[in-house]
This record gives sequence, structure tokens and C-alpha cells, in this order.
Amino acid sequence: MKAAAALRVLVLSLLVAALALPVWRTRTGPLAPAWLGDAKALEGRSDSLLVGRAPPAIARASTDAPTARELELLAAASRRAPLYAALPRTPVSVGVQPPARALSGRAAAVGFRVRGAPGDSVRVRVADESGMLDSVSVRLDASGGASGAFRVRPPRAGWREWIVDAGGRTVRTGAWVDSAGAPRVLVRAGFPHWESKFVVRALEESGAIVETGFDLGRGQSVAAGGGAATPDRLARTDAAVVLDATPVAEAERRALAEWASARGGGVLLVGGQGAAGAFGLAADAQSRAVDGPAVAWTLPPELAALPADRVRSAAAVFGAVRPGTAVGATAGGGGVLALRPLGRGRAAALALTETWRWRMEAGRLAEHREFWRALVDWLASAPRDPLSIQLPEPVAPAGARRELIVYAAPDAAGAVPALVVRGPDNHVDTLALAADPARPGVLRAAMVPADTGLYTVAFAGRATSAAFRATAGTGAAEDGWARLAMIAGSSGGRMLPADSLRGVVQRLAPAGASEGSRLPLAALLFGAVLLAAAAEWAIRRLRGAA
Amino acid sequence: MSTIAHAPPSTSRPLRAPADRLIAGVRAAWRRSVLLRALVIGPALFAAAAVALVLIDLLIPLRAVLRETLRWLPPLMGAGWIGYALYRILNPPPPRRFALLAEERIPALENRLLTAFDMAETVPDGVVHRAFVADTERRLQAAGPRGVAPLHLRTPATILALSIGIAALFALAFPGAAREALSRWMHPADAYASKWREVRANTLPAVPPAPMPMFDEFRWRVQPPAYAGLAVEEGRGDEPVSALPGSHVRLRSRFPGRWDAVRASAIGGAPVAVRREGEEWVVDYTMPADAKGLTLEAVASGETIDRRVVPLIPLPDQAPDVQLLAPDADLVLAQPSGRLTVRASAGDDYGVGAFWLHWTRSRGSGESYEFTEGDWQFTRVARNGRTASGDFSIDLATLGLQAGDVMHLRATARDRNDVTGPGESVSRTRIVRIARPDEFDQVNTDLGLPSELPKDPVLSQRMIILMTERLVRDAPRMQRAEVQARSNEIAREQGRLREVVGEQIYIRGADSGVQPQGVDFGYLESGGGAGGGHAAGDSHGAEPAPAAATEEATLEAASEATGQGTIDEVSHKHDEGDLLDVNRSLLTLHNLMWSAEGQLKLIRPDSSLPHQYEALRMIQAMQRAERVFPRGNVAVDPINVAEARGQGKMDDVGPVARTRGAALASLGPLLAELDRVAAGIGRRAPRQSALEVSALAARALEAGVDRQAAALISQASGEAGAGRVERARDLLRRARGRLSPSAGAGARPLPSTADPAAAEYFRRIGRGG
Amino acid sequence: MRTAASVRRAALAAALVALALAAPGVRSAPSVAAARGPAALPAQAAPAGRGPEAFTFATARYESGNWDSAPLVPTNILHSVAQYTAIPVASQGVLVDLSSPEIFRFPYLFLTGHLPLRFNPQENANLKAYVERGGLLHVEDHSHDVDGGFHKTAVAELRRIFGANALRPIPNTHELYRSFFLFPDGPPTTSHELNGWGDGLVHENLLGVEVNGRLGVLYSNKDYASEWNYHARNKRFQSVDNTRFGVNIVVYALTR
Repeated sequence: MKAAAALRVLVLSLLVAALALPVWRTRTGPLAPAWLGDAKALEGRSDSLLVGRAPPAIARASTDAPTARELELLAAASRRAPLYAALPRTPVSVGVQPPARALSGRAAAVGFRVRGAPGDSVRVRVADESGMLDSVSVRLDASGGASGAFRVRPPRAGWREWIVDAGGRTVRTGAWVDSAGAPRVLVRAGFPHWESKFVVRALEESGAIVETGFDLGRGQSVAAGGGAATPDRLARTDAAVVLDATPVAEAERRALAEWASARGGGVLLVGGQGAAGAFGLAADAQSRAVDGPAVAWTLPPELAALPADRVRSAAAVFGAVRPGTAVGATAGGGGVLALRPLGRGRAAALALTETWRWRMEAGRLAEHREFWRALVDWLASAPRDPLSIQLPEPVAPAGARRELIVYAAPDAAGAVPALVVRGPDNHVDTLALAADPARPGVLRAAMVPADTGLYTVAFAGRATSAAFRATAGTGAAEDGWARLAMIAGSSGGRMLPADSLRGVVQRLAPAGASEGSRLPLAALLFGAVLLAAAAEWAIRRLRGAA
Repeated sequence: MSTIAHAPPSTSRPLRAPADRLIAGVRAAWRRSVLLRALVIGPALFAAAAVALVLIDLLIPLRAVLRETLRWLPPLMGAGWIGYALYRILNPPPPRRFALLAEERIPALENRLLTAFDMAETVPDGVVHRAFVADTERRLQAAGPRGVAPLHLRTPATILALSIGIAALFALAFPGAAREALSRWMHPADAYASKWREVRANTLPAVPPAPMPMFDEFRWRVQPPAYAGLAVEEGRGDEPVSALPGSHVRLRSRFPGRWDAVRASAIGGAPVAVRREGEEWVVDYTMPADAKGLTLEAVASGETIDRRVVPLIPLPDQAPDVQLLAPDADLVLAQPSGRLTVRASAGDDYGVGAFWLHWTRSRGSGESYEFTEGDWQFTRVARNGRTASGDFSIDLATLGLQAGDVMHLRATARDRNDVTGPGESVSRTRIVRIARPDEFDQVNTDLGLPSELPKDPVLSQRMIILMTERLVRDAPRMQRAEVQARSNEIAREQGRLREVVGEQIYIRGADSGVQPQGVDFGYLESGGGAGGGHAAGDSHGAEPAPAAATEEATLEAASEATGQGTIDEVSHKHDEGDLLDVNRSLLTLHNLMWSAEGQLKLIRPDSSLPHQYEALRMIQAMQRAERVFPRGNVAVDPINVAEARGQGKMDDVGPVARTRGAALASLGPLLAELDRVAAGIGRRAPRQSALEVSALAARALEAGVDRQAAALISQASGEAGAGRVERARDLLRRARGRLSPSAGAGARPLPSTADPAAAEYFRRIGRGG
Repeated sequence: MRTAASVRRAALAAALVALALAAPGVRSAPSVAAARGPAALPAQAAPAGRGPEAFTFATARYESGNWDSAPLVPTNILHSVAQYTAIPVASQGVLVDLSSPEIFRFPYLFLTGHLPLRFNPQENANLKAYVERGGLLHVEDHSHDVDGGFHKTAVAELRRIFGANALRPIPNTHELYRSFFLFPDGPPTTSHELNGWGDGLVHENLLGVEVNGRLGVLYSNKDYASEWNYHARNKRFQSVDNTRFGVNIVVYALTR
């Protein structure tokens, strides 16, 4: 009888203890931060993180990019405890430069600069809404930097965005794509030859609209109204290609130069054109044969190179180029392609006079086509408008200050109309431009977009010529790391270098905190209650008291 | 007597009434107690169990499924107890049990109640008996049911109060946890799942599930046409099905009950019948040569709910590869006689069917050629698996060939392809020309072939070498006279052959001028006349013939030129006239044969052999040259461009401006569509995306793009339908990569800005020039 | 899987191509596989001098038949081009082996003969690539005989290479007839069409294979090969130069 009574007391006390335990622990028992080594650990503890007592902090130690599921879990868990997460081991930062000027159907360049651990090799990708367009693997130099650019061809006019991704970092940029038809090209040749034939063929196959000016001799020509480049013919033209051995008379040369510099045309002089000097490109030219592999291409990204096939082309390689001229390709110490802005237009000189051999002999149809089309696109893409708007950051969060820079040609710098910015809700702002005292011809304005969405920019009374987009949160919302940082920030925690994470979390842990695994003790207690209850019942049964 | 005067009790069931009254009382008390206890214990059980479960779940978070089952325990226990109590009340025990209860709980009765029961039916008599009845009646009157059924409500009431207390305490102390617990037990889905729903709701687009079942994985079976003799192939999945044209392709997969029909049609072709076999749809399709693919559509309630495209790749059946093994060179025969053995072999990827020899005889010259053609079956055809080889021996005499006729021989083979074929191909053509009387390529003819010319033919140099070698071998075992006889015999043959060469030298020397151009050995002539080469021998540009020379002069010149006949001396002479220049090779050959013949006459066959070998080498060289230049080079005077420039009469001149060339039919629109569709995936419903993507795949196949790219697109449609957006996008990206492989050519590091000119350029370009 | 098999086949073909190319000396190597693609081209000698190369009239030397039946046509046409235009021309034609990659250096290629014509696999592959890349192959049936061995076989070969329906009549309003001289009635007739030789027909049209709107193959039964096959200096005896259409062909080849 006594034993039974004693047991009953024991059972009751245990029961009370079991019931009181959680209360007692919640009140007093300190809990260690939840340490998540990897995604599996997170899965394992998801329930205890989201239900029951929240740990004082959650620490994500993995340096791998977080998966979407991880982010969801952490987003949910971080509502109950601050999230501290380790930064990736070699944090790569990407900067992206929007195309200076984009025209629909024409080649444009999206530049990028990558910073990271020196010597690392990083794959950089460019994508648009349709998916990945292009990728390149760059090796970071001793200073941990690398820069490059992608050639893109926006198919439609209007706002266009590109996403550049490197080492898990994603940056968006965008540009207002002006509508432009297929480039209209005048191909000028003193007499028809294979180069003239295949240049025209390549351009036409690539969709350009070509007019030929081929002299056949004895007053005949393959062109309406003679072969020469007259001003009225140039008026219908975006770019003119003057092929080798074309006798360019002084009048024609003047017409070309005037049209290029004043009306934004593009002139390409092929072969040893003495005229090249007059266009401020190259002075002297020396004839020799150039092998495909011997050509070293250092092209701006809008242009395409010819492949290094075993093809030998005649060339008039020029020695020195005039100042202000960029050399796009060299062979054996001489220049093969020279490029320069010429007033409002552009001019280029190409030493190779037999690029057709790449097509016929090496069978590089696509490459030959792309080489010529890209070259003509570049020539034809000089801004006709004396005023151009540049936006350093076309895609950035709403609320961030935007700078709008206007470059004005000297003759137009006098009267620059105000900028009209139309917001996503069709709300119109007019921005006054302030001239930059340091740089003549440069005017600046700034605004802070309040709402998210697309803002179009135009000069008062003119069509839209630029745009920018204000995003919600950071511009890099797609980036897993960025989202993790957002979650950590909003939860009161932050991102830390992987090696310093442990220390910080230990500092956060209260004294004598358990690892948060309350399961064993509780189970023990619960088992004891059951055991004691069973024993008490058995004794009573034996005593016949039941 | 007064006691006698006492009235006796009624004799019928004397104790009935009071006993019944007492038992009724007891029963009522019992009912009351059972009901009251149930009303307390039931809730107590419920509360205790509930609190216990919640606390256990707090200690050891229970999985949803456990909570789902355990949460019914408390109500079951509580309601169960009450229900049982009601049952007992409604079905009480018999009165005798209550009597027993009453006897147990009311000591004052001293078992009289039961006794009264026992004697209830008996008629009492006797004094003792009457006295007992009277006493019992008195005791029953005195007894009441109080205390018969006590309540004992303290323990359950305590548990109930305790549970409620704990619950209240917990709820007050930790309202959050309590709410959490309540939600966990009221809606026992996993809590983090519900949290995810919240998170997803505001971070991800809500993607409604596809309302209808989509296509399952396809299973295909290809039965190649009979002629190929290939085994049946089976497979599954979305990859393109490649098969020989004429193969029977069978596609099948599950036919969900909710579909109305499955429609199939060949891309760019007619609809294909679909039949239903139990739970599956089946498409049987015979692969045409220009098969592109099959489009399959699932139709439910009048609208297409899913579409798949299965690209079909017709495997090419290569035409046979025919080789003409013999003769291995074009021939020029002196006369249309002798036998010519033609040997050819043919191989085909699925076996050679017919195999014969085709001949064309062209007769005539200049502008009038007549052609006769015909076939010869090989006399012997040896077949070995997929290859065949045949022999045919032509008796030239029976063909009625004339001088100047040209026989074109080629072997022709036909494969067994009875679907798209038969594929037929021919070997290279061998030309057998019968020399005109004015052509002199005897040397080539007689020396070239193992000659089987009738009546005392000239033996070839090779034959003579064989004979000589045999003689050298046998000589030790032969009589001197016999050796001499055979050596002289060989010498005679060598002599006859040498004469033929000498004849050549003579005639060539004499007529080299008038001999028309383009005959064999033309390559020997440095001074070939202009305007030659035309088979008709055009009247233009014929040159005057140089003076003729006599045979003696020729041979003198020959021996003089070649001295002891060493090749070096010949090849180093630079000062011969036209004559020797023309004939140098033949002179050398002639001289070598001379030396060989001389050695044989001196019965020195062994020392004659080196000359013979050298002669044979030269002859073979001539024949090789003959094959490489079948007609000979033609030297034509260059024109004087400067002189001709601008001399033409410019009548009817009026070059038109060239019409504008069409842009290449590019994949641009298709790629743009692909981009649009890819962008839509994930934004639209999976089913809609799948439909769009599959339509794109069909369009790609119709445009005749790379089949593998189309296959990737159609796989993407499956993934999109299943809602695997990333996978679908990835497949589309790969398809795009296949469609425009030049992507990737655009990226390159910027040129170093160390170059000031380039720096200047980029500064300017940076702001659009 | 069949695809695997085809991959193996392709690999084998590639290997054979490599072998065939490794031994360029072996001209008549009977390698079918070598014909899967045009032969690779060794780098040629440095082009002479400044300016574009002068137009060179190239005649194809093929393995079967008599490829050199009209040896005087090249100089004759070059002479005419020099007479009527300012286009620089070479003073002589060149011969190129149809099976050698040399043909890709001459975007205009002349091919003629009387006898049955059979291209070997390498010649097939070269011709296909040549036309796809933009060359113009000019084929003349020297026997101007639609029942002749050359016509039958040449047409069969061209159809085999470029497809059954590729070889079509060229409309007489084609640019070819207006590229320099004007031929409003289409191709000029030749004396050989009227002199009773050959098929005795006057052919209304020339045939051609067009690639993206431009002639890739020009096929003629009219036998300009015979018509033009005389020494240029004898042109002076003619009242109307019968090689003027040749100038049109050359100008077309150079400008379209």
C-alpha cells in the first residue's frame, strides 16, 4: 500500500515536471543559434526552425550559391530569427556597360568588367529575355580584373535589357533601341572583280540594301547614272564601301568626306586608297600578301573578325595611322584595319583586298557575311543627331539617384532643349540641363525615380531617345546571393565572410546555450512518466486494489 | 384471548410492494450517479489527453500524419465514456442485482430483502412466518436508497481542473506557441509547408497546375524495310526516331480517359490514322524518304490540350560504291583484236542487287559523233555479304570496232532498295580507244598489256623479263647448247620489241609536225603546235611541218645520242636538234632494249636483266603519264590584252543596273519566335507553354532546320508541359545554340587601352562618336 | 541506336578524308569517302602585284571524257572582254583539275566536252561546294546534241549533284542577257544549231541552277564551245562578233 502511494506521488510529480518542463525551459533555457552547414542541415531542421522555439540566430555557413528552396526556407525562418550568412569564397563583382548606341538589327556592344580573385578564370554570360545569347571565359589579371564586351544585335526597337552573369553574380543593363532599317550601302568599284562581287553578295545575303557603282569602262557601268558616288546618291546611303583600285576623283572624295563628317555617313576605304590619308586614317600603304593566321584582330566588339584560315589575300598594309585612329587588326607589324570617328560620321580603312578568298577558298560563308555586315553596321551607326543622351545606370532600384548625361556636338551645344522624362504612370517630368564646366559639350541632369517601371527620356518636342528602368529592391533581384543578402538584411542579420561567421555566431550564443536539441531529455522524461504510471498500475493490480 | 383476536396478514405476496419501492429507489440513485460521473470523467479524459498531446508535440514535434491521427484521441475518449454511461442507463441490470446492491450497501436490511424476494411467491402460514413478514415490512419501511450509489467525483474533477488549468496557463504564458499549437492540431499540415506557401505567394508567381493529363513518354518501334535485312528496333522517349525510308514506325503511349481523341499528322503532310488499343493510342506510320516528323495532338472537349512533335530522321541508303579494278588505265589499242579482261567490284551499305557492265561506243569525230550503248552481264559474279565482284572478258574482235572508235566502259551496280531506290551508281569510266592509222601508240599498246594479239604477237617486256629470269634460274641445270638456244630465242623476242620502238622513233621523227595534237605522248613534245587539241583538228592555228628525216639518220642519231646507253648520258644532252629532243625517251628505251638483246645473244641473260628492268620502268612511267594526261596539254598563244583593249564595236550595249539580291532566307523569324516562346515559359500555364513550344518544333521541322535542334525543342515542350520551366528553358537554349552556332563569336576581351589611339577611340565611341 | 551508327560513319568518313588529304600526290586515289567534302586548299602563291587579280578564264579538267575539246575559247573570250570593257584580264586561260581545290580560286569555271561525262566523287563534292560558295560553273555541250552522250550524262550528273529539279530553263528576260550587251530574244543562236550537225535544234533557253536568286550553274546546248573555239585574231573577219554573249556571261559572273 505504501509502495503504491509512493509510486503515485512519483508519477504525479513526474507528470507535473513533464508538463512544467517546456514552460520552465521557455522561460529560462538558453538556445544556441541554428548552425546550418549546408542545405541538408537546413532541411533537417526546417521544422524546428519554423515551429516551436526560435533560435537566437540562424547561421548559414555554406559558401555555395543558395538554391531557390533554401531561399524559401530561410525567408520563412528568418521571420523568427536573424539570419547570418557566409559570403561566397571569392566574391566576384560585375560591372556592365550598356551599348553607347543601339539600333534595331545592327550590331551593338554590351561591355562588362569583372573583379575577383587574381588568376581566377570566370565564365561571363550575356542573356536577354529569350535566354543565353553568348558567353566568354575570361581570366582575371594580377589586379583581379578583366573586361570585355559582347556583340549583340537587338532585333526590335524600344527598351531592351541584357543580363550579364559572372561567377553567380547577375547584373542587368538596358538601352533604348532606336528603330533602324537595313543599312543602305553603296559599293564603289572602278571595275568589277571578285572582291566587289562577293562583298555585295555577303552584304545582300545578310539583309543589307546594296547599290553598286561598278565602272565597266568605255562609259558603261553597273549602276543607274554612272558609278561615281554623287551627293544625291550618298543621300540615300548609310555607308559607302570604296573598293581597291577605284579611281576616286577629287570631287568624289570631297563629296564622301563632306557626307561622312557633316551628315553622319560611314566610309570604308579598301586597299591602298590614297584617299585613306585624306580621311585621317592611314598615310602610306605597302602591298604584300597577308596570310589569314597572320592577322591579329583587336577589334571593338561591334565588329567581327575573319577566321584564321590558311588563306592568302593580297593587301595594302598601312604603316602608321593618324592620331585618333584605332587599329582594329594588324599583320606583320602593319595595320590591316583602321577605324576612326570622322565628324558626325565614321571612317575605316581595310588593307585586305581579297576577303572573298575566305568565302570561296575556306568556305567561311557565314563568317565572311558577318565580317562585312558588322563592319557596315558600325559604319552606318554613327549618330546623326548632334545630341546624344547617356545613362550610366540604365537599370537601378527605384529611389536611387540617376544621372543623365547629354553629349552635344559643338555646333549644337548652344541651344540644348530640356529633357522630358515620362514615368511608368505617364507622369511627365521636365529636367533642366546644366553644362559641365569641366567638359565642354557635356550637360548633366539628375532625377530620383520614385516608382518602379520604365522611364523614357526625350528632348523636349522630340521622340524618345533614351530610357531607364527603376527596379524594386536592388537591380540584382534574380541573383541568389543578392536575395540571400536581402533576407539576411531584413531579418536583422547580415552577410559575413565565411571565416568570421563562426565567431560572430558564437558571440550571439547566450551562455550555457544548448545546441537546441531538446529531444533526448524530453523523451527520457516522457518515458519515465509512462514507466512509473505503468508500475503504479501494476502494483495496484497485484494488491487487488484495481 | 387478545393475541388470538390479532388479524392475520393478507396471504397474497405480502412483501411485494415495499421491496419494489426500495429497489426502484436504488435504481434511481444508481442512474443519477452513473450520469453525473460520466459528465465529469468524459470531459476530464478529453482535456487531459488533449493537453498531454499538445505538450508531447511541444517536446517532440510530431509529424503531420501522426498529429492527423492522434488529434481524434481526446474527443474519442471523452465522448466514448459518456456514450457508455448512457448505454448503461438505458439498459439497467435486472432488479435482483439492485437487491444485492441494496443488501450490500444497507446493512440494516440483514438480507431480509433477498429472503423476502425468495418467499415472495409463496403463501405464508404459520406464526413464525407471519412474524418474519411483519418484521421485514417494518425494516423495509425504515430503509431508504440513500448512499446506495455514491458519486466519487473528486479525482476526475481534479484531473479536469488540472488540465484546464495547464491549458489556460500555457495559453496565457505563450499565446504565440498556443496559437501555433492550435493551428498545428486544427490543421495538421506541416507548418513549414504552410510557411512556404506564404513565402511562395509573395516571391514566386503562382503556377496553376495543368488541368488535363499530358502525353506520357512515347514508346516507338521501327521495323526496317525487308530489303535492308535489319532487326526491329524499339525505344522510348522524345529523341528523334531515325529509320530507313519505308520503315514501319509505330508510336504508342497512354490514352487517358479524359481525352476525346489523339490526332496525328505528318509535318508538311497528310493526317495519320491513330487507333486506340485498350488504354493506349497507337500510330502506325510508314516512313517516306522526305519524312520530317509527326505531330501528335491530344484533344479533349474540342480543344487541343497537348501537342508533341516527334522528329523523324530518314537514314540515307547510300548508292553502291563501284570500282573498276581492271583495266586500271585508259587504253589505246593499235587494232580492235585480242581479249580484254574487265574486273570490277561493288559494295553497298545494304547489299548489292544487280551488277553489270555498261559500254558506250562513240564513233566519229569533230562535230559528228554517234553513240551506241549497251550492257554486258559479268560472266562471273562473286558475292560476299554486302559486296560483289565480277569479271568479264571482252573479245575485241567481235565488237566490230573501227579505227578511231572510243569505247567507254564502266561497271554499274544497283542496290536492293525497293522503297526509294534502287540506288544506282557507276564506276569511273575507262576509255579504250582504237588508234587511227595516223596515230602511233603501238608502244603503249603492246608493251602495256599482256598482249593476246593473234598470229605471232610481239611479247611484252614483262614477258621477256619473266622468260629471262626463268632461264637464269634453270641455266645451271641445263646443257650449254640448250641455254644458248633459249637465250637466242629470248633475244629474238627482245629484238622484235626493239624494232617496234625503232619504228616509232623513225615515224615520229619524220612526221612529228603533221601529227595532230592531243594524241598520246603529246607531253613529250616541247614544241607542240598551237590550235591543237580539238578532236576535229580545227583548221585554225595549224603549224607547218618541220623537215622529215630518214630512218638511218634517226638510228645513227640514236646511238650517237645514247652512246653505251646509260640514261645519264641521254638525259644530260642539251644540244640535240628537234628530232632528238622529240624522241629522247624512245631513243633511250630503244637503246636499253638493244643492250639487253646484245647480252642475250652473248648468252649472258643475267647481265641482260638490268637493261630490261630499266626498260620496263620507262615503259611504266610512260603509261602512268598516259593516264594522268589522257589528251595532252595544249599550248595556246596568249592574247595581247593591251592591243585588244577598247577595240570592240559598242553596238547594243546597255548594261542594266543589277537587280537587288535577296537576303538569305535566314532563321531570324524562327529564332525570334523561339525567343518569344522561351520568354513565355513559366509566365504562361504549362499546358499553354507546351502547346506553343511544340508548335515551334513543328515549324522548325517544316523549315527543314537541324533535326537535333527540333528534337531539343520538342523535348522542351514535354518539360514545359510538366512545369519544369528551367529544364525547358535550358533545352530551348541548346536548340538555339544549334540553330545559330555563330553565337559565341561575338564575345572577346576589349582591346588593350594601353594603345593611346584605341583609348581615344573608345572614349569617342563610348559616347557614340 | 542508329544515330550512334551514323556518328561512327561520319567519323570514318572524316578519317578517310584526313587520309586522302594527307596524300595530295595521289590524284586518282579511288576514295569515295574523300568526296564527302571539298578538298582542302593549300595556301597559294602570293598574288602578284597591287590591286585585284585580273579576270582569269578557268577551264575545268575532269577525269572522264575530253575536257579540252575547245582549247581556244578561253583566250577568245578574254580577248572580247578586253575589247569591250575595262575589266583587267589575264592574257591566257588556266586549266584546273575539277577534283582539286584549285577551282575555288576561280569563281568562274568553264566545262565542256563531247564524250560522256562522269564526275568522280571528289569532283562531285567540289562542284557542290563551289556553287554553294558563289562560283559560276558554265557547262557547254560541245556536241550540241540532246541525244548525245555528253548532254545525257552531264544533265544526269548535274541533277544528281544539285537535285532533280534544280536545273531549270533560264527565262530569256534574265539579267544574263542584259548584263552588258542586250539580247532581247535571249541567248544568241549559233551556226552549229543550224548547220545540221548534232541534234539540229535551235534551243530556246539555256538551263541553269540558281542559288539564292543568282546563277550557280549555266548549262548550254547551243555549243558556244564550238562557236567561240577559234583564235581571237580571226574575230576581225566577222561582221558581228559572236563572242559578245561571252562578255555578258563574264560580266554577270563578276557583278551578280
